[in-house]
Amino acid sequence: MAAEVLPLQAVKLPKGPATASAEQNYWNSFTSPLQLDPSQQSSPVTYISFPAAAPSNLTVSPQELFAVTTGSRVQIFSSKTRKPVKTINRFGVDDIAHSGNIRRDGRILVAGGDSGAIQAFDVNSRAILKTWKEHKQSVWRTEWHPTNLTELMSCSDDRTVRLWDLPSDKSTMTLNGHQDYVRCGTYMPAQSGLIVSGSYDQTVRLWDSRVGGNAVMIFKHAAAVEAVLPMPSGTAVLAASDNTVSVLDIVAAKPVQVLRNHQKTVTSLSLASNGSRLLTGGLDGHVKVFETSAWNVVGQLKYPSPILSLSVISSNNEDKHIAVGLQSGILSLRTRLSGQQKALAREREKEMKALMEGRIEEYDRAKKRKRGKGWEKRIRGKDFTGEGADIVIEGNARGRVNKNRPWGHALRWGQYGKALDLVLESKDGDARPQTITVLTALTHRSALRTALSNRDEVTLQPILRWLIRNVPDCRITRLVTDVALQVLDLYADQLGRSPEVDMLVEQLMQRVKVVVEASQVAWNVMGMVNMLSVGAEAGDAALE
Amino acid sequence: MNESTSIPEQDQSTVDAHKQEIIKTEGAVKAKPKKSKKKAGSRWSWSPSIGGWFLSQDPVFTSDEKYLLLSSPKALHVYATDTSTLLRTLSKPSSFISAYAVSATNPNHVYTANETGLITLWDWTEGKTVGRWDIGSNVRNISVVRDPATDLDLVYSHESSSSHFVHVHALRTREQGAPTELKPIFKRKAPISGMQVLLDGKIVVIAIQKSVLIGKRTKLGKTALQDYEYVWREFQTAKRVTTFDAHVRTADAEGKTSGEGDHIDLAVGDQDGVISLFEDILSSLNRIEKGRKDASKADTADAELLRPKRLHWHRQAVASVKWSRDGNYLISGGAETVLVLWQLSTGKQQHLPHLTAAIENIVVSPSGASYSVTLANNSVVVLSTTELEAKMNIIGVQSRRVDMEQFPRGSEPSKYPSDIFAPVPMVVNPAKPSQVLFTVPSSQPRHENAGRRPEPYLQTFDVATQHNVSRQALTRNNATDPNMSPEGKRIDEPNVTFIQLSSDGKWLATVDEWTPPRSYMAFLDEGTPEFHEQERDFRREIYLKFWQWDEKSSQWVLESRIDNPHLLEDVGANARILDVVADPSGTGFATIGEDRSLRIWRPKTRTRAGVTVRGADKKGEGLVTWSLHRSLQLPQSLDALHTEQSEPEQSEHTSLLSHRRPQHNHVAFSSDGSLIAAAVSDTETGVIHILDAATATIRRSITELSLARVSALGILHTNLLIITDSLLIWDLVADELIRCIPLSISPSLSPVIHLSINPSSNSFALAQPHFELNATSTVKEAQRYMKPATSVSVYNLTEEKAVWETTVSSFILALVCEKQGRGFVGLDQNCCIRVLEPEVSSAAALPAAGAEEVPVEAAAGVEKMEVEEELEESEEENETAVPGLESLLSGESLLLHAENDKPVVRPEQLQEVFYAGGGLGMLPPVRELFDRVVGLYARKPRTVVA
Repeated sequence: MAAEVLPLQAVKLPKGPATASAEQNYWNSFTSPLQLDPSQQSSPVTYISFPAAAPSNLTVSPQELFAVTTGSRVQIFSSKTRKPVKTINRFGVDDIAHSGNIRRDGRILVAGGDSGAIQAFDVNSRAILKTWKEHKQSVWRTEWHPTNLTELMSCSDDRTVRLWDLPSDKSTMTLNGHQDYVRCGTYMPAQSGLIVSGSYDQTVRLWDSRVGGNAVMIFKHAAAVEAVLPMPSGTAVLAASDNTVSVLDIVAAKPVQVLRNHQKTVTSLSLASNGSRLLTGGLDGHVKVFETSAWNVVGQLKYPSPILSLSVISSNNEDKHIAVGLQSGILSLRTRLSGQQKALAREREKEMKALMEGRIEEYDRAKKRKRGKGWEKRIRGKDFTGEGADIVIEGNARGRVNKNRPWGHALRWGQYGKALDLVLESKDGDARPQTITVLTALTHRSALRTALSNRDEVTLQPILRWLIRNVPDCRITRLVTDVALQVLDLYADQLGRSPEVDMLVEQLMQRVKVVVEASQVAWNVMGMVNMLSVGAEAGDAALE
Repeated sequence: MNESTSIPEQDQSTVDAHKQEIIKTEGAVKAKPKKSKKKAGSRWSWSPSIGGWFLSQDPVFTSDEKYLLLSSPKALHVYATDTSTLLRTLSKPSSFISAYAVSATNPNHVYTANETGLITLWDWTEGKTVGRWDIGSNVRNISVVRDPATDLDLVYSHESSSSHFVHVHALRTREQGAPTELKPIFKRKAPISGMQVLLDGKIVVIAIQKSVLIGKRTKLGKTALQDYEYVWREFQTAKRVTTFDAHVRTADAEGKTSGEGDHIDLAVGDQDGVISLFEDILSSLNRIEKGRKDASKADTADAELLRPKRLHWHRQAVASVKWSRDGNYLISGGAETVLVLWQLSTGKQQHLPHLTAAIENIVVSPSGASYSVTLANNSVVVLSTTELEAKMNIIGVQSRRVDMEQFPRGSEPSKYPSDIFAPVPMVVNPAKPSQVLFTVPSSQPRHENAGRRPEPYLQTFDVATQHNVSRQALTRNNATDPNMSPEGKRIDEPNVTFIQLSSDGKWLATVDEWTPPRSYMAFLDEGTPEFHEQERDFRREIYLKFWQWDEKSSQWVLESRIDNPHLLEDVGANARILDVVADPSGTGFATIGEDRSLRIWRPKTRTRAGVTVRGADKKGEGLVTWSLHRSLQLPQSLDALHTEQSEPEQSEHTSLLSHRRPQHNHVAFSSDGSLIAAAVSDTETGVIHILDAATATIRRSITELSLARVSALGILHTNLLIITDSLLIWDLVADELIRCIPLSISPSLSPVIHLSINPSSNSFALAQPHFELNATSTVKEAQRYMKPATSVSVYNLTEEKAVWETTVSSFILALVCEKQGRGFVGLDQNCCIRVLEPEVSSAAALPAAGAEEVPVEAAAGVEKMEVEEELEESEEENETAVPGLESLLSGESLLLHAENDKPVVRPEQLQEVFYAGGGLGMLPPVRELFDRVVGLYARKPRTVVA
């Protein structure tokens, strides 16, 4: 039947070079940077840890805390407020803390130290719960077991990896085999009982904690291994050595890929976006974002000083902060604002849920919310859920929103001059493509001349201004030329009557001259390049 | 000579003038659709034609409004209004219908008339002929009223020979016992454009060019036909009358009894879009006549003296105007594609806009509950009067129609618009082999003679069920935009020049072109036409579009659009695409352009920074982009022959600037997709390159042949088929010419030769359009235009000469090969689709006929009766209306009469049974068919409901 009126399709011009991808836009949307000096002595921020989400069987509510290790202290930050909550500095006088790690229930923090001691603190009271001094040299990494709350591991410069149980005083297992400092290591996920560690002996070793003894798998690298990170699948491990990151497949027992995107040593690895992105930080001050299926760089961030530690802190399965620790002692926090509306919407959803479940009073009490007088009347019957029927609230009955622009209407009614005026005075963000769309549509309707004719001194000016602005755009040269020629054809005999119009025409001339000169230069360059390429070909032919 | 040419004043004895039911043979009918000189071993035949443009006459509602009668030149169709299904087709082979009208006395009877003067009375409910008469003249229009004296039909017919007549016929059959009579009532040299008979023949209104005549019968007391006398009153209008409608005002509406006469209101639409409304026209004419008694004999009046109401909204000619049943509204329509309802008492208008095509006819149903609107895209819509919602939609084949009468009589074929016979892009869907896709214009008004219209739409037509499947736009269009520029010129949409389907039927590639009209370029005009044309070429927009079939919405969805796929780099202008072919082995298309470059396009899964981009709706499927896969600049013929250096570029450059020679570049894929043949040729020279499809490198260049004006190219197995001024077959393996068959083609028609290759039957068909001089004996001198014809020949590789040849009396605009059959599908200028297939042996052909009857007899008593009737009549003639296969298949007719406990069989189910084979005419064995049909009808009703 009668065809539906659809908005005019916008003209899409070819894209220029170097446009930001959606991915890069996403990473750029981490804004509101916060720069802190947690040590207050500009000690380098060496480690940032964020406990994995607490399993649901734990009764404690996750507090969303993360620990930042710098100098001789570990500072605990709240992810919600971005403010330090606690500071733990009960380390030795000259001791430097390493790798402060909060247990996933948020109660206990463990950290190593330069002295070789490992200390466990109660997060609330900051009391020292346990101190182990078994390592002979400094402990660089301590990690909690992913499932078992009392187990932990440590990596030390004394070339050992040790496993600990919280109640016992001695290490439960010592894994020997590394030839040099062990600076990184962690549990493999999914209760495999595997441990991975990286050392300055340029190897990444996999240990089986159930068996003990020697490493079950060794990957040799070209340089000292600075960081290791298991993938959530448990089948791959990422290892940073020098300026490369290698992807190691532990099922096939071979490296899959080497990422050589950094200029200097890669110091830290972190997963983001639920494991679909990898962020690497290096001494070159760059954070690079890789996608984890084909390991392409999809985004990057720049920091002013070498990066020592990096962590993406998530909340509700969404990336929330990018926390980066710098050599200069600065902790940089960038946060992606989820938007107030989003939060409001969530609040409203909760409220509606409470209403439906009949807990609205309870909810109001919790929120300390008072409702106005008409409230009872407004919601009357809305909470009726009797007779097992679902309440269906129909979608908006206004019908489809008319997306036609004001000029679209004028165009359809044949008011071509009006349509052109409307689009030229449009203040929309996409006013420029809109104008091109309208002018193209006028050309298609053989109405360009009609739209341009019968204009006076005032109404001609926007068109001339548009021409002046758009003469240099090589993508629409034909269109601009046509409009300009039509205008000149129509108004040539009127020139000299209005100073404004004359001035604009003069400007247009100037601009055209500039563009012509630019194209001349381009021709010259092309000629030279052609000559060079022909010469090169001839040279090749001669060599053969 | 018969009486139709005699003048009205003569007294006549008419009984013997008519031959009653005399024609026993079809020998007298001169209009033969084709003459085929078959060879002894002819094994190919054309199927009956499908489609055709509906007649310009108003469609007719039956009195109960359950059916709509609509006629194409070939057959009269009966459609059910509630389901839009074709119920019955009434046709005789080899006769064209020119007019039809429902009997006034028996609503089940309908008259059809043809150009040779043969009037047939049908019983359309049963599909049989009741009577036939030959009145021996060219009938243009008929109207039937009830004779008050005898209660039988009187047929008013508008006939034409050297001048135009209106005759009244009393056509009587043997059973009625009365004699068949004729009475001429009107004669005029000028052509009659419309005729309306009111009040059982008391009033006759006729429109002739710029005047309207109203005839009133005198001596109403005398009822014999020979006493029918009319007094004609004429008035002139300012512009040519395009349409009119008269309405009889009922007495009670007036309030007082109209003793002295009938009140006739007349609405006249003219060429300028003005509707003039004459209220009570008879009395005003009387008044004027009385007013100037002295100027006796002046029986023509000026329309202005009658003081009509002027209703002017239409910008262009009013195509149709009709009164509502109560006389309070006028309904009009025209080229604006807007249906306008005028409320006469208040002057308010109501509009139904955006009907996508010009309105041709409007009919108000007998009860006034619905309007039938005939659109200029060969479709009929029935709207409910209250909501203006479509109740029924009948869509025919909408492809380009070339009406030879549009051209000036006696003009040379070379003066016809050059591209009017250009090939219509058409393909058969490999996924659904009974569906044919072709491009169609948005609207083709009958009265407009403005050259070729662009074809921005794609129509999918099912040849097996003879139904329109879908229609969608391929380019921007004017469906909701003004179709007229400010200067009053028609705005042309882009024209789709090529469509191709990938071998799996999932991808559609289309090429569309748009060039600004010449008038638009006026601001650049410097008086040199070459410069002007060149500037137009620079502003040409060419898009190559790739569409994916979307099963959910059952339409093609645009996936990629390539702007300017070919470029003339040195001048920075878009080059036209001259040929597109689909890769038969994989998904891909090859194009060749004016720039002499061959480009191969293939799909790519879209990635963003290495990650596959997945669509939101298609689960897990990566989005696909089409992009240029290979590109190769093909050397020009002479260069390849003589010099291998880059000297030609210079000459090319200059030739481009001065004038470009028309190019005849073509491209073809071998059936395994490994080889591409690309012809680069112009009017003087040419060369064919054989390329490796995977790498797009030239393996061999054929320069030994004279290859100017290559008009088609194809590869059949290992043979390259080239059409130039002769048919060349080149063996690619032996690398030699194996056959050369000269063809007689005039150079102007060489671009419209069609070559189609069907590998499954190892044959190829060649359609060569040409003009024939009219057979002088039958047609008058005035109609001495050239007759179009197409000679179609089928070749295969084993035989030296054509296997089969025939000449069709129309231009074939497209010829493609069937995808699951051994034949070819052709589309001609009259919008008829015909299938050319090798004849199957009689044993295999029989099941189709047998199987048709089985379900019908088992299912519905009505149809069964008809079969019996047919048997009774069989001694009379064999050509009584055999219901078309489609009317049986439509199944809705069966439903209408079926009892409640009968199983419900939907037409699609039956269609599945009959077209399970897929290909046309490839039915499974009889037994299987029978079992399946019985299976459908013998089910228990319960299971059907579920």
